[in-house]
Formats: sequence, structure tokens, C-alpha cells
Amino acid sequence: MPEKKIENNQEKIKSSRYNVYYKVKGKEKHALFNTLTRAILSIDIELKEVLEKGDVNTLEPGIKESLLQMGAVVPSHLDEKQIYEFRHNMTKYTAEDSSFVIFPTYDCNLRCPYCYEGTEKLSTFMDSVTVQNTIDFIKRTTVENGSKVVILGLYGGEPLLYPEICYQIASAVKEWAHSNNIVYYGTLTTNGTLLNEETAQLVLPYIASVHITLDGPEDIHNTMRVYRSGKGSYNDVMRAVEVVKDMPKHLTLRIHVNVEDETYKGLQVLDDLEQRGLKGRENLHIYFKQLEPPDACLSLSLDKEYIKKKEKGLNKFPEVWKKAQEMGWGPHMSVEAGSEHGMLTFNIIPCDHLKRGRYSVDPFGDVYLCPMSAGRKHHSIGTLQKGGGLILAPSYYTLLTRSPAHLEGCSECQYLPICSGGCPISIWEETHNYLGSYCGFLKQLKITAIKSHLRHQYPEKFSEVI
Amino acid sequence: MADFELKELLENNKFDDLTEEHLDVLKTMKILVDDGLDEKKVLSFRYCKEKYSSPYSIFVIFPTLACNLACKYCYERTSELSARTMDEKTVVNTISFIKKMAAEDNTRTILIKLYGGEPLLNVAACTRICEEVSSWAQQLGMQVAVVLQTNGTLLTEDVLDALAPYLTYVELTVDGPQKNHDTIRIYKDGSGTYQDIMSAMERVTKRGIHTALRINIRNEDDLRDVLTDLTERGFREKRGVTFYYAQTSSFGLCELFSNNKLCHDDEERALEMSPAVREVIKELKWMEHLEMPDILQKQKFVACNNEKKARYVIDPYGDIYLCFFRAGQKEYRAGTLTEGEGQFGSMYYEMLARNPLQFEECRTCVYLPLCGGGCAMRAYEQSGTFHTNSCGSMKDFAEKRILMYLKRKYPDRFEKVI
Repeated sequence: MPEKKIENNQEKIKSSRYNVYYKVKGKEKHALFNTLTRAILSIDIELKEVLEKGDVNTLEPGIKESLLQMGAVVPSHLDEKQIYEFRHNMTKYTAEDSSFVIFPTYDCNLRCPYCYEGTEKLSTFMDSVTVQNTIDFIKRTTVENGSKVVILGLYGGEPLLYPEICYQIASAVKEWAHSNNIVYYGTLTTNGTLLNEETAQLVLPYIASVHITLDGPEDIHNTMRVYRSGKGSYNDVMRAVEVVKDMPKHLTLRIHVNVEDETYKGLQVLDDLEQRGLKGRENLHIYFKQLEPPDACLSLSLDKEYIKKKEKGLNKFPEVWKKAQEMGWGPHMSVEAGSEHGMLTFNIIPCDHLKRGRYSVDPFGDVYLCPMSAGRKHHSIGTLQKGGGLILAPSYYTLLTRSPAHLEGCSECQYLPICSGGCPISIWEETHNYLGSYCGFLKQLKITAIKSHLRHQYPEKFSEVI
Repeated sequence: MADFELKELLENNKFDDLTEEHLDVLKTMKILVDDGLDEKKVLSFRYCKEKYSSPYSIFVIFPTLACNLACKYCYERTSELSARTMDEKTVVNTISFIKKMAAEDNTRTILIKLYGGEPLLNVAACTRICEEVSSWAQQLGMQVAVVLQTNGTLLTEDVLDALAPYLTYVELTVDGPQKNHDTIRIYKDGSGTYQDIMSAMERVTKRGIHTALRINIRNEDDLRDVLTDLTERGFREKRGVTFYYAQTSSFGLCELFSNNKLCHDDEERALEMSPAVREVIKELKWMEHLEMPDILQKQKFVACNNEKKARYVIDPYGDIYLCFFRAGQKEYRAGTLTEGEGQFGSMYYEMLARNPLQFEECRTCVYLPLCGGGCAMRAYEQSGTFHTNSCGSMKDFAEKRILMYLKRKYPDRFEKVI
């Protein structure tokens, strides 16, 4: 429900604590963005002055009413931080769905140079006892959480190195969910090279959505996504795309684009996809990312070079999107504010993995909140027991009860509602404390994202926002 | 069982002197926990889980604030509430609000509680709400349960014809045996209501609808008289009849809400007489009809059920409240219904963001897991904010309840516990 105010016009109002302003170059205008309501307004300097320093009660009733609707002004007794905290907690503690990301193995048949997944744990895969414990864990936890939906994500490593394990877990969970009136949704994240007719027949009946990554057109892809021998994987990945193409499943393609290259050569892969008949396919989703290790958000989140690159990406991606749209791929993309792969995600928690009902299980039966942290033993929230029990580690409670509205450095920050204090796991990597405050470049990135969003979404008003 | 030496060791953190066997048992029971575990965080997690992820939504509806009785102790009677009745527009808004919030809360079960005032003074509103919400929910695979809390005097066959298809159960109240009841629960002309309530109960149970009877008593003899009468009327052999008892109070608010001397004494007396009362119930063979939370099963992390997400109280003006006992008093409203939706104000967010783990006094209190910081509304009245503790009589009674529980559950070991 929107945070509309029940109070009438006679009541005293004040400026929202979550208004941020950006100047528009060459115009006497400012962009106002409210980080709590996500409202965007174009305002002139006089209004900005009143909002920042003056008495908003003196504004014209009509203007006051619109500003109230947008949340740019609020009743004077309203503590907006409480709204933030309420919504943050609601999102974090409800477990309408329970999601399990399964690592049948950390091993992969590719050796992409940018991938950081460690080598020391590669040779293991989930043994039969752990497979059974995992199945039991999923059933038991979904019921305990009272979830209406169970989401199973096959992940890794390359999950299709062990299609039998994928099959065992997915089929058991799907059957169980059906007979218990729980909605089942299965996803597979694969490099595609092992998705042939045989593995497709075994695993895909339990999968509603397949996720595959392309590093651009053949020549670029084949220098990046390579087998151990150094041979490129492009043709094999495309074969997988074609296998899934004619099945009634969601297909998501992640396409890596180098934003340093002004011609965005990576986009040429779209031409090949068009020739292969992908354009216009129902339930095809594409999104663009810069080339980076899968766990970059943890391993590099405080790395200066990475941040620079990230910032550049935020500024450049609207151009990439525009190009792809011009090529006719608009209907397959969703980049508007609030969507997962857009510029501005509207999460009220730092990351969708950091809430109740999120679990990643690795080949050792170690459970993590976040799949990116899998394998970093310190972040494990427990190890599966026989029968699927899990004794939660102290860190689970620390992570879940972390309350950004009460963190030093966050509680008074205007960007709190769109940042929520950042990722505690990456902060731990820097400070060895989940509750540490490490704003780092986070705020700068949020500001860059907001401005980039304003520029590309409202070019006539905000193309010159600074 | 712990002996004196073990207590010494536990209190002084001298765990090296414990045997392996002791350690195992104590760890399993979480009397000893790993050094790295912050139990406050565990509690905070459980508190929030309970508060923010309720599997059902409760809508307490006041079709009217008016009542056809004039019970001497009623808090609604003494306060300056109007006799306002819900108009048609508000009924429509209430129905839209229930649908909207049930969808937003992603609820599995909608619980509608028809409350008041006397809800059956506005049967049309009761029926329409039940009917429209039920048929909507059915299409979406949601369950609907309707509880009618009534004084029973208006529960005619006609009323039952209209409402029976929706009713999950009916809550009735008697104020002790007839001779007492008829001096307290009275019509406006002063005449007693006991016989009318019994007839209503008869009609309800005949239709197979569950009846929950609240029996207000001063002592065990009151309960003996009422149960004897109910047996004679044949209710003991009926299925779907349950009862619970409460101390007749001259201040009929909930235990959490009250911290004055009167309520304190009431609660004290209730605890004292509890063993004798249970003896009477056993002797008269009513035990299997007794449905009330046991002394310690009352344990909850959130102090009051109405302090959770997905709890809404709607009064005849179309205002939204969080607490039953404040419905109709606009200064306490948490929001208001408008066409097609509800709008919440600051009180709503303040209440929903409350977390006693953030209160200095609660954080260090050993009873916090039993109490949850006490009544938020009381805290607000005392301190002008929901974000503080309100102990009331909680600490006193927590200890007494624990002792009572131990005596009852393990009489051979704890008979002499003090």
C-alpha cells in the first residue's frame, strides 16, 4: 500500500527527509528524487529553496497536495524512517516463497579467465547422502516457512556436469510440492555446453526457466568462454539455446558487453540470435552486463578499479539499451525503474538473497544465504544434518536482524531506502564485521544510477542533470 | 533436575567443572549456548518473524458501536462513545479493504471477527460483508473464517438463517450463574439476559455451529453453578461446545492493557484460584470442553496479537485501528478507509516498526521472551510513543505463572517450589 497520508490539508507538513536534488545544467531547474517513494519531480529553484530551507506550509494548497501525494512533503508528525523500517522488515521476514539454490558441484568444464570460482574445491560433487539431506531440507524448510511457492535453482559450478543429481533433487521436490499444494518453480543456470538432447530430456521437465550467458558474438565469446583446452564454446552454447528455443520455457540470456568499446561490438550477437529465430520468441528475456566474475559483488565490491568500471557501466548502459531497442529487441528487455536488470532496483533490503526463505546449498551440504558467498566457509549459516535439519549458526541471526535504520552512518542517510546499508557480506570481507558500516563507493554508485536513470528515462527534462 | 551446586556453577559461568553428560543435556535444552551465539539476535529474529509473517489476516469489524444491553462493567458503556452504526458506503469500503489487504498480505486465511457494540444490531452489514468476502475468497482459494462475538440476545432463527452459512463459531458470555448474571448483564430496562443467552446457545449448537462460551466468575463456586446448569441443559453432551473462564472484572479490558491496582488484584486472584477451578472442571467432567491457553502456552514473542502485520480493526466510521479497545476514538486511529483502499497514518508505521529489542529496559530483561515489551498502546498512553516498554504487572505475573506451571506439570518434583 502506498504511504499516502490520511491527514488533511489543515495539518502541518514538513519536507521529506528522503528528498535528494540534482541540478539540471543550463536550466533553472532541479530534479527531485524521493528515495523512499521513488517519486521523480522537476522543480524550479524557488520550490527547491522552500523544500530545503523554507516553510512548506506556506505553499499553495494545490502544490502542497501534489507534493504530499509524491511524498516530497509529509505530515510533520510522521517519522518516515518508521515507514522504511516497516517495509524493510516486511520484505525481510515474510517468506511467501522459499528459494533454494543448489550447487551439485563447484566444478566447471569451462575455464573462463575472468571467473573467480576457486580451484581447490572443484573436484567434489554432492554425494548421495547430501542429495537426500538437501531434498529433506527443502521439504521441511518450505513447510516451516509456511511458503506457498518453492523455487529450486540449479546452479554451480556447472550443474549439468551432474545431470543425475539435478534430476534427483528437482524431480523429488516437484513431485512433493504438487502433492502438497505448493507451487513449484525450477530454474537452471548453465553455461549451456552440456545441454544436449539427453540432458534436456532428463532435467528440463523440472525446469521452467533456463539462464544462459553469452560473451558477445562468436569471435569475442570464443576468446572468453573457453574449455580447458582453450577451445571456444560458442557453437555448443548456441546449440543449447536452440534446444531450449522450441520448448515452452522461459529463456533468459545474459549478454556481456564491454562499455569501453564505443561500437558495442558485443551486441552483434543479437544478429546471430535473430538468424537463429530467437527474436520475437515468447518468454525470451535478454539483459546486458559488463564482463565480470560471477561473485564480483562480493570479491570486488570495494575494489577501486571495479567501482570505476561499474560507474562507467551505469553511465553507458542506457546507450546499449537504446541500440538494442533500435535493433528491435526492446520487447525482450525490461530496463524500467524497479526491474531487476534496470538502472534502479527498488529493493528495500540490500539484496534479495538476504531475507528469510533464501538458501544456497553447496556440494558439502553447507548452507549459505547468498549463492555468491557459497564456498567461503565463514559465511555458511550451517551444515545440513541427516533428515534435512539445519542448526542455524549465530551469523544467520546477525545477518537477518541487521537493521540498517539503526546502523551508524546509515540511520540518518538520505539514500537509506534505496541502499539499506549495502551488502553485509561484502562489508564483512572488508571489516570482518557484518554490522560494520562501510559506505565506501556505494552511495556514489547509487547517485550515478539515479542520474543515469533520470537522463535516459526523461531526456527532454533531465538530459543535462549533473 | 538441577541441584544447588549446578545452579552455582551455571550462575557463575564455571562450566569446566561440569561433566560431559551434563554439558550435553544443558546444551540440548539451550540452558548453555555457544559463546558466539547472541540470544538477543535469535529473539529479535523470532520476534520479527512472528510479527511480519502471519499466515492469516484478521479483520475485526464493528458494524455498530451501539448495544442493546447495559452491562455494569462494560468499558464501552462508560466511555463517551457514540452509538454510530456503519452505513452502506462504509460497508462497501470495508469489503474492498478486506480484499485489498488480504491480497497484499498474501494471506491463506481471512479471519473476520464481527464485534462491537452488539454486531447483530446491524445484521445487514454482517451478512453483506460475510457474503461478499466469502465468494471472492473462494475464487482465489483462500479460506474464510467468521467469528461472531455477540451478547446472544438478538440471535434469532431469522438472523441465523442469514448468517449461519458463514459462521465458524459464535462467542457468547455469561457473567456467572443466573442469579449473578441477571444483575450484571442486563437489558436497558434492568431485566436479566441469562435465559435468552441460553436459548441462543441452544439454537446455535442445534445448527452445528461451534459455540465458545466465556464464563466470567468470581470464584470456583460460580463456575460450579454455571457448569452444573449447562450440564442440566444438556450442553455437556453436545459436540462443538467449548468454554473458558475469566475473572469477573469491574474493568473489562485485556490483561496487558491494564496496570492499575484493580486489574492486578484480579489477575492475582485468578492465579490463586486456578488450581481449585480446575478441580471443579474435572469433577463436573467438563475438562474436554475447556479451551483456554495454559498458563505458559500464552508465551509469544510479540506482546499482543494486534501488534502484528495483517491485523485490522474497522469501526463504523470507517477508521482503521490496531487495538480493539480504542476503536471509535479517533485520536488512536491508524488509518482510514477510502473508496477502494485504505490509507495508513503515522501511528500504523510506528506500531509496526516497534521492536522491544531496541528498548533499553527490555533488552536486558530476562522476561522479554515471555512478554514482548508489553502493550504498545499502554506505552503510547504513558510515554507518547509506541517505542518504549510498558511492563504493567508483567514481571510479577511472569514469575507466578512459571511457578504455577511447574507445580501443576511436575507435582512430584515441584510441589513446594517458591
